[in-house]
Amino acid sequence: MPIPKTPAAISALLLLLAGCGAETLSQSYEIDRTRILAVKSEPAEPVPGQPAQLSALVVHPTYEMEAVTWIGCLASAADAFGCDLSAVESLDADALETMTDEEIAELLDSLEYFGIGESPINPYLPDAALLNELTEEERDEGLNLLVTLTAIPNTQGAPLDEEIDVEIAYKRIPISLASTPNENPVIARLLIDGQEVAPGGTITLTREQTYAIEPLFDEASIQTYSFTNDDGDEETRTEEPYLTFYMTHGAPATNPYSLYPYTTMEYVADPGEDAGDEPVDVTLWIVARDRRGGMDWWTQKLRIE
Amino acid sequence: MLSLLLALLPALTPDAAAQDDGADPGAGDTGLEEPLPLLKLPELLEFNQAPYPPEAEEAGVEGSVLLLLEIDEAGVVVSAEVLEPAGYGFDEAAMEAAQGFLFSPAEDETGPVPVIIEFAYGFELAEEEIPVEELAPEDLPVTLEGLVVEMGTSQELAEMAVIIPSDDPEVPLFETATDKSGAFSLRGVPPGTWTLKVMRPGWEIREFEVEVVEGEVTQAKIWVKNLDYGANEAVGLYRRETEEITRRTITMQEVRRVPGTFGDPIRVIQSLPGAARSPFGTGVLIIRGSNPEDSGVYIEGIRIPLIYHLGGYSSVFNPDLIESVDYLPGGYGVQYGRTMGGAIDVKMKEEAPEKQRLSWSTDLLDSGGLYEGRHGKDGQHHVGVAARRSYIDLVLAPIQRQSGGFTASPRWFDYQLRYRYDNENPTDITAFVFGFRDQLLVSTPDSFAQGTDSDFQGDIGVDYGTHRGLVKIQRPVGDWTLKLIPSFGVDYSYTGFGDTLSLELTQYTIEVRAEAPWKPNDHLELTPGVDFIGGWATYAFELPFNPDDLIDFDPIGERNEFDINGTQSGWGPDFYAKAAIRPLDDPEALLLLPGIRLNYVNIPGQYSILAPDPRFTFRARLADGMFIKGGSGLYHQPPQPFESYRPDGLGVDLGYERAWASALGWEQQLIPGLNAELEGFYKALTGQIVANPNIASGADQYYVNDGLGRIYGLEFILRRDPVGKFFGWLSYTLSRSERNDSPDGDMSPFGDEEGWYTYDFDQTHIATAVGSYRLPWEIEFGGRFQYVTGNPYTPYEGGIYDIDQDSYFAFQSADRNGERLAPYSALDLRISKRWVFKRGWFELYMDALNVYKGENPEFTLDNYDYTESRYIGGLPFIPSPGFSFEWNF
Repeated sequence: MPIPKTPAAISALLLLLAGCGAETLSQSYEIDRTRILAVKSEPAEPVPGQPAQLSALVVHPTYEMEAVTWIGCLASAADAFGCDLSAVESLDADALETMTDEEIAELLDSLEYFGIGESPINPYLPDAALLNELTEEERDEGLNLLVTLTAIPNTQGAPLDEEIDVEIAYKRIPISLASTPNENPVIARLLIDGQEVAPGGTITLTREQTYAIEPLFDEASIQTYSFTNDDGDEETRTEEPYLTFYMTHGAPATNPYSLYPYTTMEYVADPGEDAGDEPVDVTLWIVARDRRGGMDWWTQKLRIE
Repeated sequence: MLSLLLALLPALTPDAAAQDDGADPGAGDTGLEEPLPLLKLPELLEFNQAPYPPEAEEAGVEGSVLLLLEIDEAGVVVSAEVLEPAGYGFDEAAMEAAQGFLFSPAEDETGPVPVIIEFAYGFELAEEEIPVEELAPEDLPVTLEGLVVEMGTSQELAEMAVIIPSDDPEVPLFETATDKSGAFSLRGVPPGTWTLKVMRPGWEIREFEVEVVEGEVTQAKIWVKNLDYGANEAVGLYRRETEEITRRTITMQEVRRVPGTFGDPIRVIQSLPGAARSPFGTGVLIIRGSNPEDSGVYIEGIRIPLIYHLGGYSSVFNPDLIESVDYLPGGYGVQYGRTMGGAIDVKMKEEAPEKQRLSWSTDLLDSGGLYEGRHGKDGQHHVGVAARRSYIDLVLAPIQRQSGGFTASPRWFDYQLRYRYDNENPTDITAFVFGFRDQLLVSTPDSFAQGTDSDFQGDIGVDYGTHRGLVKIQRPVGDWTLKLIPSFGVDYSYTGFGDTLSLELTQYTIEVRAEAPWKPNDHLELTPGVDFIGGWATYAFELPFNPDDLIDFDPIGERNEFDINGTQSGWGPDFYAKAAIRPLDDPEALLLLPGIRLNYVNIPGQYSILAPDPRFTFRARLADGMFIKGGSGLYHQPPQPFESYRPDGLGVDLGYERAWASALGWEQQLIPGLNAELEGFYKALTGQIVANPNIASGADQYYVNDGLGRIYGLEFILRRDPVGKFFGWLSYTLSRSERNDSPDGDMSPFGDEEGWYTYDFDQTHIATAVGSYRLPWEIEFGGRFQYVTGNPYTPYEGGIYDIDQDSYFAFQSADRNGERLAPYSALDLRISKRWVFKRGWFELYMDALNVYKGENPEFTLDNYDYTESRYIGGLPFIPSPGFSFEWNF
């Protein structure tokens, strides 16, 4: 009988080594290019035949977005890289230029895509018959719609040699007839060093100081739900929203993420090596995921003096 | 001086007159009583020496007179009679002398009785006393004797020259040599003060002053220092007369002196041709471009799963108990199976040294001790015990090795026990028990744990080990030698991450090896054998999600915990037969080694497969010191346990992986002690187990036998044997290892147009230079330089962001393994100083690894979105001090 080997220790050792060099690579919390940070559907779990509002958090440290295109497909028709866009890429771009939106929508419907456009078609209306072929249990579980976004920044006025970075991301949106559908978590308030911040304002921070950034959820949005596992047993679970922090300047003292009920991030107000003595404007984004498809975010302006 | 020969014959009959005690005369027809058997014969108590008859002495005649003596109940000789005369006056002299003898009386059950015996009285002429000055040297009396013993080991030394020099250095006054027990004696050394000189190549020349006294034999015990300690442990230099065309045997003497290997014989292998450098921290064996799992590691022919402890810096066996390590990069015989790569076979020392031995060694990584000794009235019980433990965890704990807040606590432990019963019985029995355990705990800081998915919080724990017990039985039976090695072992491994992820596997293995070499003459040896392995394994896997759910893109929050557990058994008797044919009168001139192995493995409920392995190798001498060697053969390897897993528990359609390996080589002894070897090899792989390309479309098993491979190259080594002050070698390997996972094109093509790509462990150039020089005062200095082509890797070309999972899926280049890390190069140095005492020695050393701080990237690290990458280097400059000592008593 063959004797197995044990590679686990190898992985553990590599994990340790990896930590040694990670700090010199760009980090996920640094917003230094186009990024698609979140996509939200309201409601979080749409119902066939009923409208849903789709929105996305697309950011760039400098530019506004030139275009954000949306395209959807059933998750079963996608792969690990999102919707298969090869059919779209094979289309004649010149021919598309002369087509109306309705003609394009019709064409893409025939390719089994959902929605198209530079912004999501709002409200998005899932096909009322989408789940008709499923059993009652399957309808309760629903199907995942996968939306793939492509974001291109508007770099007008930028140096000619500046690369145009394009970001592609995808998100699953469950469409079901669940009796207790999922809802989006809600970041209701933000505390900085224990002081509540008014939405929309700019908070002034002192450079090189460390601040406790603590988003607070609307507790009612932390759902307790029933879940039927693979063994057919019903479990009661409570959501544990997962927070990620992004910033144009500064850095987290420890981790740029946290898990409910631990929601605080220690933020170091570091304006960067290139900053002079002038104040530096910073944007901080906080994205919450309930890990069942629901999302929310908070955008906060800061000024480091 | 007379020497007399006495022949005392058993009494024949008691004296009839002595028994006239009034017994019934009517008893018996003869009227005589039957004599009672004697319970005790008469013994001569007082001998009466007869003067040598002048007539005989003058004539120079010697003789013997046979007398008939009558001895009474008191042991007195009452009469003497000549039975066989000798003349020359011998008869009269003997009779007269014999009547003065006194015996202890004979006895029967009644008590002392008179007897008549025959007695031969011999006369020998005394040797003429020759004056000492006229005696031949060999007739001179011994006046000086002693023992020559090796310092540090207390071993008696044979064949040591012992001389008393004269003014002429070519002509000593006296000379001799020690015998097998280290003893010597010198005859006729006159009284006075003399200088003894003891010498032999390989030992220091020792001069020792002795005082010879008149009428006495002077004793001397002389301690001599070995110039090459460990030479006794050498198992031979390059063994040319072997069954394998490429068997590189390492002597323990070389092992201890190669820098950067911590005195570990198994690490030295990585400096030999055909052995690729293992990736950092892995210690895996990559032999001739093969997957590490394709090579086997054996202890006395019994396979073990791992040969290195955690990190790959220390092997699992105490080097002091190792007799030899055979490294077989390819072309090995049919006694090794179930592998396609190479083989490493560790032979353990069976006998304990004559003196009891205690040794200890400590270095940067671990410390360990060893005891060996013989016990019992005749020293028939050979016992050996060794144990070793690392202490990096104890050192790191206070230092707190920080890496993003993580702390690591690696540790390992190994032990070995040996027992041998050595008696007059032709059956040799030796028992070994050995094992090891490695553990690594990576503790996650609270800040990390609090910020991560609850299913991935917690510490990472790795714990694995092996325990084996085997008995080696060998017995000659006529022209046959029966060899039997049964063994039993347990292997286990555990990996855990937090509370919800754990992988646990325990395997129980029974392995039995048996061979019966038959050698009817010097030209032929036939060996049938069996290599049986069987056992069962229990496994338990717990994951926080079902792997199938990932394919279905289920939201993370609704994933199901997944666990599988079960038991799997398997067995496989492989039978083999091999021959060693020496058809010519000169046995070294030509050696032919055909063999065949029948492989069989049965995994109940999974598969049962059978395959033959015909193999043939040869070795021929073209000229004095020049050999050509070659061979070709088939090697089958069964699937790994994880490759036969199916979620639905049904059987899998998997077969053996196959390799057809061929090699051709040349060996040349350039000058005594300097040898060169060049060998070319080619290996064609078929039936390689690769990922099932149809798995996404609902096919069942995860792996299929669709892959191909090819490995080819050249190996060269120029080696200076460990005689004299210097030893070392230059080795170079040029090779290429490629794979094709989808020759039919079912998968998206990786590699070139036909799907061939450079294999993960391909290292085109491997060049190593090793050298060690012994300086005066037991100081040794050595170095090892190695240059290796960087490992291939497949670069990423960006990624796409999964918003739900907050991670990027990477786009990997279609040119699989199209990039290479920068080449590896490192210089390791070693310096050691040994102090030798009578009963032992103490050694201090310093191993300095990567002296010029080569960056040596070990792998690439990519950023979060795979748009940037950087090399992660291996270990920087590492000074590794250590000491060891040995005491013999």
